[in-house]
Amino acid sequence: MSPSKQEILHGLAKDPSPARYVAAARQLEELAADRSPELRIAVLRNVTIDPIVPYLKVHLHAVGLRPVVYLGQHDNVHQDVFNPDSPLFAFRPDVVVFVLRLHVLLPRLVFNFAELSSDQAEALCGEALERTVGMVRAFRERSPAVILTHNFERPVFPAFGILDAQRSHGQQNTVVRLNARLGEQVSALGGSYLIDLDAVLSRVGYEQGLDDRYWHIGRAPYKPSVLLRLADQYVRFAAALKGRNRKCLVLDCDNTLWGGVVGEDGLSGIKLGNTHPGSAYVEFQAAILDLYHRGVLLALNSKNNEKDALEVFERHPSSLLKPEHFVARRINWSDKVTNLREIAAELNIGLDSLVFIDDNPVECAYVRERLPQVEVVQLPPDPTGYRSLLQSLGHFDALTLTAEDRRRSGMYRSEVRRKQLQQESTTLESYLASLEMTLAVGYADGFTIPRIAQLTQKTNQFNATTRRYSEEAIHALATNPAVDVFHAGLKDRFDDNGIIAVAVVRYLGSVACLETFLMSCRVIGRGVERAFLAHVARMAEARGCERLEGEYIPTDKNGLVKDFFPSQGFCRTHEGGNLWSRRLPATSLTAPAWFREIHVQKKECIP
Amino acid sequence: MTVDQRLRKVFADVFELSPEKITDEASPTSIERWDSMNAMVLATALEYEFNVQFTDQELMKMTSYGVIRKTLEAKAG
Repeated sequence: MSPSKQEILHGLAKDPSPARYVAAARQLEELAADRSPELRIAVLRNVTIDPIVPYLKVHLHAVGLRPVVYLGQHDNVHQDVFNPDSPLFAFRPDVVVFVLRLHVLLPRLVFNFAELSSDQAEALCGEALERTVGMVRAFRERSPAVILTHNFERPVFPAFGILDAQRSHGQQNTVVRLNARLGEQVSALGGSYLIDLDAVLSRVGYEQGLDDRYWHIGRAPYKPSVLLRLADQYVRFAAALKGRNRKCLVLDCDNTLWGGVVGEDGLSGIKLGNTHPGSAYVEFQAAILDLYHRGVLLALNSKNNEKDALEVFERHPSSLLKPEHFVARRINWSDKVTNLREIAAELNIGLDSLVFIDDNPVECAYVRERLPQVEVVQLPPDPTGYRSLLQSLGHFDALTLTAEDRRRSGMYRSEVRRKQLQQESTTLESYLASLEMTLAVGYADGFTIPRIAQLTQKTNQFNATTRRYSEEAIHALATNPAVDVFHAGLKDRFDDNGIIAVAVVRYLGSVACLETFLMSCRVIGRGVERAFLAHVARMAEARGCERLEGEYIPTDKNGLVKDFFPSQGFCRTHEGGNLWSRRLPATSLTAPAWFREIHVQKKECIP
Repeated sequence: MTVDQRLRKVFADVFELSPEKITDEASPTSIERWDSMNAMVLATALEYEFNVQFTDQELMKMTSYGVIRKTLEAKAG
């Protein structure tokens, strides 16, 4: 019998040899002839980087994406990006990587640096920048794909020997400055990101990671240890783009957030403080807090008396984590699988949005077996390794950090207060009215595009079509006169939820088509989708449209949308099809009466 | 495991072959997947598996299974 995906990946963790990766990439490819979403990645390069392909494929399969890889011809980047009919654009990538090594791009900066005056070196840097950014920009003008650009390597042995570091125009400092400018210019392009190759190399070690033999034999500078980590970086972007990232970190307590067992050792007996080993737990907590500030939800799942564990967060002077940092907690003697199920249900997120961290191998194995959707991270026996293990995980990466992210946990806490109010209310309608909701509907603009793209990348449940868009793709739609990109923000008496719904409407003659209609799971059950659809219908009517069409593409997760279109008076255009249609004007489509106000923002031109 | 057995396994992984079918004469002419790119993958895989470093001359001479086996046996011995 052929091995499962988990078995193949587990085997690689034990034996990460290049040969095993080649074989594993092939085995995973055979297994994934399934329904995993496709990820099309193009790698454009002026050096040989082909041996990265097995690593790239394995890592993409690991995050549930089915890879399709395009490798540009060697040193053919210019022809690929400047010709709209090139095979690159025919390939229609989701992600494109620019691998431009300075050794080939501008060899004088690498091999003849000592002979250059500082002015000449500056001029060459300007040229390197112009060539690179020029190619990236040319690509951007023709494709909405997410762009990743390698930065340049610092020299292992700089041109001026021991004096190099002393000179602001030494070779090291010149490359460092060049990289800083490259980062600024590349990220200014929108949906375009820097891959810090230099940091990857310094992590591996320049002497360990670079291979002069293959450089001369085959123009292949990077060893497998570097390629493996580069593939990991690319895939973290791809996973974030395709909504494969996770939202909630669920933590065990004893021997995870502190050393020892609080129920036995007592508040003053646990290890948490300035010195070893307590300091390792404090630093681990600090790394967890960083994730909290990036918008990751924190939850507890531990076998303790609740009072004992909470006392640590409330009263221990060295505990950086406080009770208010956790949006859900199951501190009890139930089994951890049940607890994880309950946490996901309480937060209204999927089990595949959870990462669970525990030090106990038995608990970890149990959760892995029963809930394969949950990413389980087992801590090593030595707590000094906890922090870097957590920081090395890519599960929480996102392509943007929005104001909504930074306030996320506060929003979930408001939800708890809403639930209390709901229990006090006699009817659902009186509860919804007492929330005093205001919906603000507007058009995508420079301020809202990042959040809109992010919602398309992360929303799985109330999402009619599950189409994912990069920021650049949303920008292109928003400036298209035949398309409207609407967003809706929701405020209530407890909180400003920020932007929580998106609709992409394409006008084809007298028909308005909903290419995307989605709503964040945070606000399910409040009638937002009805109010938002009514607004979209009004706008389509104002343009003179006679029909409104919606598409429902079923996935494992969006069953919530199944009955939405028929409930709003839409009929199937074809028996058994995904397309739904209704006549306009639609006077029956109105915002529910419990909304206090629907605020409509006018359309403005965006650059 | 002998050098020959370990080498067969790496060959099987990289070139998608069954180990028992590999002979000393196997070469880029007889193995379809043995192109210049996979030659590089093969060499890095062997360096990892056998914990050795090939010189540039050794890399250029890796033209058949037999040559590689003898090179590795010499380096291991």
